[in-house]
Amino acid sequence: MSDGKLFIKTKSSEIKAELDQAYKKSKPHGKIKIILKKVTANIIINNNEISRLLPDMINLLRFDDIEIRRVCLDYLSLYSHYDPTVAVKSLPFLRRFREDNDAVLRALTIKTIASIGLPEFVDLSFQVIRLYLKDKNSFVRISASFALARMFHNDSTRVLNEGLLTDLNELLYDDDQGVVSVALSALDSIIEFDKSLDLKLTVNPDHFIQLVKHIHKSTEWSQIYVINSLLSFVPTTTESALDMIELILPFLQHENSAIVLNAVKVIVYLSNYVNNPQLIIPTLPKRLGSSLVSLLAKPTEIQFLVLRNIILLLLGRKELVEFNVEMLFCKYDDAIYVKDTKLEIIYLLANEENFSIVARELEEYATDVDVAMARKAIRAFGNLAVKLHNAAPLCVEIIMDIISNGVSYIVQESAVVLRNIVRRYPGQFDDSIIELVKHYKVIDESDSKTAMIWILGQYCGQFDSWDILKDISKSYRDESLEVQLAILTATIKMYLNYPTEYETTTLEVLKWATEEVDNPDLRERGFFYWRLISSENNEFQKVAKDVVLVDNPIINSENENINPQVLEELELNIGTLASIYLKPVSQVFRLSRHKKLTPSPALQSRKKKTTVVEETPVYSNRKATLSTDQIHRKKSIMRQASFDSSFSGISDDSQGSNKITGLANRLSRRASMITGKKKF
Amino acid sequence: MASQIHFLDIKGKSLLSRDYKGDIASNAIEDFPLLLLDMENNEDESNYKPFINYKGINYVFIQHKNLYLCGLTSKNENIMSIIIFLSKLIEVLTQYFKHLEEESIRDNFVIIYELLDEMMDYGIPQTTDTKILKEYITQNYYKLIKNTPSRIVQPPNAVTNSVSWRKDGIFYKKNEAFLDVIESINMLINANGQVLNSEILGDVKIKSHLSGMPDLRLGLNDKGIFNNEESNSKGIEMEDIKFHQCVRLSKFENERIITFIPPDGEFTLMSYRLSSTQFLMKPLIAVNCKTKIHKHSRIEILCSTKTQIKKKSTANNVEIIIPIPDDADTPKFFPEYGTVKWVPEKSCIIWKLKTFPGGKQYHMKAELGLPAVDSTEDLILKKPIKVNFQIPYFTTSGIQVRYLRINEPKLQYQSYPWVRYITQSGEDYTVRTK
Repeated sequence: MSDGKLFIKTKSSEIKAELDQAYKKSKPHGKIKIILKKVTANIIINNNEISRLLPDMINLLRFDDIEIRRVCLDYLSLYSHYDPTVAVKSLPFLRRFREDNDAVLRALTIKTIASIGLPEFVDLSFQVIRLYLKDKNSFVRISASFALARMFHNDSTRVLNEGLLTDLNELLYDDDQGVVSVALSALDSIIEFDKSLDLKLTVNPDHFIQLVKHIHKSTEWSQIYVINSLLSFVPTTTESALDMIELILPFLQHENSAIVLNAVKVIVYLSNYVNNPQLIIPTLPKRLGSSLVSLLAKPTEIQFLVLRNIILLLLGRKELVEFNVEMLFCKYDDAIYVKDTKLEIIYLLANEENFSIVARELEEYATDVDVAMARKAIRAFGNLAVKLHNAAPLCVEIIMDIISNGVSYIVQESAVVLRNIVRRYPGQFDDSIIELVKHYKVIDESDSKTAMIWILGQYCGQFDSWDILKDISKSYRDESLEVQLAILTATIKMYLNYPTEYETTTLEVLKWATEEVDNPDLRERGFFYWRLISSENNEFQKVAKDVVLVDNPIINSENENINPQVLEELELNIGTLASIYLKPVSQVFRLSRHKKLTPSPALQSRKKKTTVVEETPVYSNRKATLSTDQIHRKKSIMRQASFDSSFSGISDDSQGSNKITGLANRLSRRASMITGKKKF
Repeated sequence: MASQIHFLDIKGKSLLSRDYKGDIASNAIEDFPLLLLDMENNEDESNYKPFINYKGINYVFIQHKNLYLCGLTSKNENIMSIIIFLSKLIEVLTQYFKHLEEESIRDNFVIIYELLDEMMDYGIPQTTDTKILKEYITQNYYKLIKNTPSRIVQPPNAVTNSVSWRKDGIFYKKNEAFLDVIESINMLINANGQVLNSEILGDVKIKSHLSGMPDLRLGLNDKGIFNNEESNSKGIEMEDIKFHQCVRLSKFENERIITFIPPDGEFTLMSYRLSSTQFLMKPLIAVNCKTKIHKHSRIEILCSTKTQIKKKSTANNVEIIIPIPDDADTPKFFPEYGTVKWVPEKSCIIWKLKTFPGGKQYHMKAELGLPAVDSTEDLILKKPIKVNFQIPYFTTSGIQVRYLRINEPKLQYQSYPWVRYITQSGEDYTVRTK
C-alpha cells in the first residue's frame, strides 16, 4: 500500500470532520490512524494551518494505542506554542503517562514535554527528568538524558541550580553501555553549548578502560562518543598516554568510517603526550596511514573529508603518518574537488626519494584534457621545484617539454611557475627562459604577463628581451594594474642597465605613469622612480641602482611555516567542519569553545617552527611583485598597503597578535594555494 | 550533531524534513536550492563541494539518485559522523523500499518520518541497523501492534540486549553458514603496460542461517596472518582490515583470532586492503591498445589482450571498454575471439570475452568512421580503457579460509560452513591511453 495519495495538503476542518465520523464507529482505531497519516503529511509539508487541530489531538491521547499517541505527542511538541491555553489541557494526560508501564510511552512523554517551551511544561519536565534519569528501563534513561540536554539549551542556570548534572554524571557509571554513551554525548553537547560556563569533562582512566572493554556491546554510534571522550583525558605520564593509544588502536579497523577518523583524532591527540611515539610504536605511522587510505574507497564526500584531514596531518604531524604517494594518484573519474585535494597531498608528500614518480604523474595531469586540472598540475610543478632542489631540473625539463606545443594556457601557467623557479635558483635555468620567451605572444592573462615582464626585466640584455618588452609594453594603457606596475618596474631596470638605448621608451612610460594615469598607486610609484633615477647625489644613478638592481631574497615553499597553535587546535578537531575549511576554528565558529592541549608533565613541546618564520620572509608564491619589495625594504617610504595587497602575507609586522592572524590567513591560503586562484 | 535532516529533490526543494534541536530557523533550508545553483554555475568547478557554509549555517549533503540528503548544523560538528549517518540512512531506506527515489519518499512518508525519529535523537544517531529497526517499525506496522495482545511494546532490544545486532530465539532447521571471499582488484596501468598503482580490496561476506546465539571463530591460512606488528617481507601484509561491529576487536588485536556472534542473514564480516605491489607487479589482464586517428576519415584501433594468471584459472565475462571519439560512426570490427559492440551513447566500444583461459592472448581490430567536418574541440582522447572481469576459485592475495568453527553452547547443533572464492575487477581497473 502506498501512502502517496495521503501526502497532500488538507484543511484542518476536513480532518476534524473525518475524525468526528470516525468516532461514531465502534472500533475507530484503524480509521483514526489513516487520518493521522494526513496530519503527519501536513506537518511535513509545513502546513501551519493544522495547528487548529490542537484540541482534537489532545483529545486523541485518551486512546490507549501507542501508535496514535506517538503521532499526537509529536504534534504536541510542534504546535503547542501556537495556543498555550489549549496546550496545558494535555498536562493531565502527560502526568498520567509519566507513570505508565510502557517504557516506549514513558520515553515519548519526556521527549514531548522537554520540547515544549511553555512554563508549565518546563516545570513538569524538570520533575520528570529527575525521576527518569533513575528509571529502571535504559530506553527511558536515554530519552531523559537527551531531554536534559534540550532543557539545558533553554534554561542552563536552572539545570545547574537543580543539580541535575550530577544525576547525569552518575549515568556515566550505568550498567548499560548505550546509556553511558548517550550520557557522554549529552554532556558533550552541554559543555559545548556555552563557553562562558566553566564546565569540563574529566576522565577516570580505569573507568575508561572498563568502558572500552565492553564497548563492542554497544552500537557503533555510541562508540564514537566513548572514543571521543578521551579528548578530555589528560595523561600525566607518557606511559598512561601510550596505554590509551594501544587501547584505541583496534578501532582503526572498524567498519564505520566515523569511528576510524575519531580514533585517528584521539591517537593524534594522545601523541602530544609522548615523546616520539612513532619510535615507541614503530607501526603507528603505517597503521594510521593505511587506515586513512582505505577510507578512500568510500563515496566521494567521505574521500574529500578524509583527504582534507590528511592534509592537516601532513602539515602538522608528518612523522605520525606514512603514505604511499601512489595511492593518492588521481583517478580519471574522481570529482574535481577530490582531484584538487589529492594534487595538493601529492605535492606535500613529494620528497627526495619519490620526486621522479611524482613528477611523471604530474606530467600526466598537466596534459589532461581538463584545463583547470592541467593548470593546477603545472602550478604544482613549480611548487615542487621550489621545495626540492634535486627535483628542480626534472621539473623544468618537463615544463619545457609541454611548453613546446605552445598551447596557450600551458604557457601562461608555466610563465608564473618558471618565474618562481628562476627566483629560487638564480642562474641555473636560464636556458628554459629562452624557450619560454619564444611563446610570449600567447600570453594574455595578467598573472602570467606580470611574471613574463618580471623575467624580461631580470634578464634584460640577454636574448632579445629588449624588443619583447617594448612589444608587450605597447598596450600598457589597457593592462590591469598589476601588469602596469610590472611594466613600470621592468622598464626602469632596463633603463638602468642600458641608459642610452632605452631612454626614449623609459621617458614615455614614466610620462604615462605620472601624467595620464588615474590610479594613485601607479602614479606614486612612477614619481618615485623618476625621482630616484634623476637624483644626482654621489655617482650618477648609484642610489637608483642600489635600490632597483639587487639580488632578490630567496623564496621558500611556505607550507612548513604555519602557526603551531592553529595547527594544534585543528588537530583536536579532526573530522569536524573546521577540518574541511582548514581555518582557525574561531574564525568560522565564533561561539565555539577554544580547544587546546591541557598542560601536564608528559606534554611534549612542539617543534619550534615559529623561529623559522621570523628569520625567513615568506612570499606569496603567486602574486608578489617581486622586485618592488626591495624598495619597500630599504626605504619604506610608502606604506606597505599601497604597494600590493599580497604583501600582507609577509611577516614584517612585529606585533604578536597581528602575526598570528597573518599566519592564520596564510594557513587558509596555503590550503587553497595550489587549488584556488584568489581566495584571500 | 545534525540539527536538521532534510530530503530534497534534485532542484533542492524540501520533500521531508525533521528538526532535532530547534536551534536553526526552519526556513534555512530554503536557501539550499540557491546555494546549489550558485555552486553549479560557478566557473571554477572545483568550488563544488558537498559542504556549504552560508550565513553561519553549514549544509552537509550527499546525493543519491534524484535526491539530496542534507544535514544542517551551526556548530563545528563532527561531520564525518553526519556524512556516514546520511549514507547509512540511504542504506536503511533502500533496504526498506528497494529503491530510494523521490517517488518512494512520498509513498512512504509516514514510515520515513517515524524512522527518522528512531534513528536519531537530539541530533545524535541512535541506531542505523535495519534489522533492529524493522523489529518495531515494519512496512505495514500497524499489523505488529494489532498482533500484540497486551499493548506493551517492548523497546527495541538494541538498547536492552547485550548483543545489539542479534535477537534471541532465531531458529533454522538446517544450520548453514556461507562464506564468500571476494577480492576486487583496482589497478592503474599506464600506456606502456606498467603498473602505477594497484590494490586489492577484499571482502569476507557471510550469510548465516544459524540458530540461537552461535559463537563463530574464523581461521585463515598462515599467509593471512596479519603481521602488522613486525613487518617482515614474507607473508601477506594486510595493510588495513576493517571488521563488522560484531567482531571482538580487542581479541583480534591481542591474539590475532577472529571471533564473533554473527547477525542473522547476510553481512560483511571483514574487509581488507592490500596495496601490495609484490602481488601485482604485472596486470592480471594486460591490454595493449593502439589508436590511429586519420583526421576527417576514420579511426583505427588495434587492441591485444593477455591474461597473466595461472594456466588452469580462467577469467570469465571479460569486458574491455575502449573509449572512442563522440562523433565516430560506422564501426567495423575484426575480433580474433569474442564479440565487439559499439555503444554510441557512452562513446566507447566493448570487447566481450566470455571465457578467457590463463596465459592466452587475443587480438582485435576495429575501424570507425569520423566525420569530414572539423569538430570544434580538438582534444586528444585521454579517457582510460576500463577492464571488467571475474576469476572464480582464486584469490590474488592467496588468502584462504582454514576453518570456520561454529559453536552454540546451548543448542549444540551440527552446522555446515561453505566457502567460495572469487577475484574480480574493482571500480578502477584502468589502462591509460596515450
